Amino acid sequence: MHRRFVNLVLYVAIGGIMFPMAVLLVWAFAREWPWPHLFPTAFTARGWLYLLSPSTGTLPVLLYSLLLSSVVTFLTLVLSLPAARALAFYEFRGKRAIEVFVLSPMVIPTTAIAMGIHVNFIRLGLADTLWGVVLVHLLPCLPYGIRILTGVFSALGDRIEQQARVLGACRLKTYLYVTLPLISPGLVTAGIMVFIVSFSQYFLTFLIGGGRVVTFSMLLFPFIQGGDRHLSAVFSLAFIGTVLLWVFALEALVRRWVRKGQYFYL
Amino acid sequence: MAEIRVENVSKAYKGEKIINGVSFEVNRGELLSLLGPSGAGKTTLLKIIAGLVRPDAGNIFFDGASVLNVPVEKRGAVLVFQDYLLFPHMTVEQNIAFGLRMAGVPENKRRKAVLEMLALVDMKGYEHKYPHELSGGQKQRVALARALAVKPRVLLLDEPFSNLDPRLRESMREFTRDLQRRMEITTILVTHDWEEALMVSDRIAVLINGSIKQVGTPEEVYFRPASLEVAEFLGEKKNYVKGRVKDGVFSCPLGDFPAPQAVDGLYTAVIRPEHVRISPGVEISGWTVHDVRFAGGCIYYKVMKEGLFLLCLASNDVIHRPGERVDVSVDFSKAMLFETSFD
Repeated sequence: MHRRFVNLVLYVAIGGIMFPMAVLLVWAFAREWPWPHLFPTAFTARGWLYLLSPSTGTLPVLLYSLLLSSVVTFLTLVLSLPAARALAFYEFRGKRAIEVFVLSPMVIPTTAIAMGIHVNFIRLGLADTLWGVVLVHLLPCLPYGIRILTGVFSALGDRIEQQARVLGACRLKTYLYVTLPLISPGLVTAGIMVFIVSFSQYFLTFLIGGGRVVTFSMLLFPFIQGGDRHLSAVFSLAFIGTVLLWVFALEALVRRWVRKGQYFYL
Repeated sequence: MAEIRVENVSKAYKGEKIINGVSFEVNRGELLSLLGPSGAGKTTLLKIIAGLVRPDAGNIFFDGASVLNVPVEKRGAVLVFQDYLLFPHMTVEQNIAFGLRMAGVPENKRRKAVLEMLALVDMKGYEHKYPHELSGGQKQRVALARALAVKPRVLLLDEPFSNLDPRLRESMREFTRDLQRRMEITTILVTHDWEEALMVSDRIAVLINGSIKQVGTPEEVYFRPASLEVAEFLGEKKNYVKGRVKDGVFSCPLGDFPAPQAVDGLYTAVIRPEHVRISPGVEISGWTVHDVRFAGGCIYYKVMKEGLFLLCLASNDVIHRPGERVDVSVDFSKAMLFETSFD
């Protein structure tokens, strides 16, 4: 009885996630799907051609977007690592305040402060540039990076680092050969999360990029808004596919790097 | 191998003194135990010697040279933690070779050293296993091999046997002690287990509440504890009898005993259960058996006379029953007298 109930909840949950995906998949090939038909009445590949055709310039935007979010992810992780380590291992005055401060972009809507940032970026010449957008993307990304990695570092504990130190490894070597390989699964998780946050940014890119920096979510938005369901579905699938691709690529990259690190040992 | 000298080391955390002016020496190739109850600051002291924690005051010398400003990785004091902390992403071979690799030893030499170490700790054939595939005792051996591979100047063992089950603990203790003697490694072992300290150490330093109360050989510390605190910590439950010394005679409810060295005053006599003898009773002695604990090789008795209880350890050839009348004699020459103030 109990088992059956658990299964039911499970199926509902899976169905709840899969159903919209299935609808998306059908729409990606449907030209007409009027009410009350259960299945589309006409099929097309128009959206896919649009996505892949060189004349629309969609693929370069997708690639550019991928690159931009990769850079943002890399920078976020590089900045988050020392911050998370410090928050996890050290006790210092004002630690609690810093934790709250670091998490504040999660709580305060970025939209609310975007104006101020924009004004300052114009003054600094960062508005309408790629680096300006990268910088502003760090804002919503950093809390995720730091939060996830802090958890990873606290789970690891600092004693394994101490063990490496007493065996004769300096700080840098300890970090490279012990800490990083051991936190790599957490690094992958944080990388995925941060990438998704950056890849989905619309408003901040729009405002700071000033229309000059065009990302994939900016292309996707008008289609969804305009009601072209077929094109929206195609673009959404491309969006999801890119993220999945990133997940697998990151996972493979980190695994290979960890194994290589081991290989170096002997 | 080095000679270690710890001088007046103090450390406080958040205003609370953990280590309070501790000084002791460890001779070359000697095994010194830091014995004390948990929370006495033993592990902190070990970390200070290793260089992981900086003391607030005091100095540490290896072979006469201060190492206070030598960073952890150059100090050559290898700490083996209680839970071994093998690197989980490396094989046994990589774990043992880690220190050598960090020191830039070439690969062929590393491999040779690893094989030597594995032979030393009886772990041949395990080089390609990962730590999660090993048992507790095996992990301990690998941790030991990893520490010894770098030829440390001093080996620091933090409660090394406390995570093992009792039988394995016994054999690892012997194994470690044997290895330490053979390789003549200067070793500091931290433990809260007085029996372990007595069995493995050349000398014992008793650390209570952040300061050293006594340093001496196991016999000295056991038979001639420097204070009541040390006496209380070492050994099984003991008998505490309060009394008064006057003109070289200690008078207490058990009777009068000679105490020629003691100055007049109030004293507590600490009498170990093994120094209380028990024999088949005489009516007039007044002692009755109150409680019996059969421990196999020996028997613990609690005997009573007019509201006075004594613990007694006896051999198992005669077993007395509760309520039985017995004769009790105390070997007072083995008792320890400590001056006390009564409240």
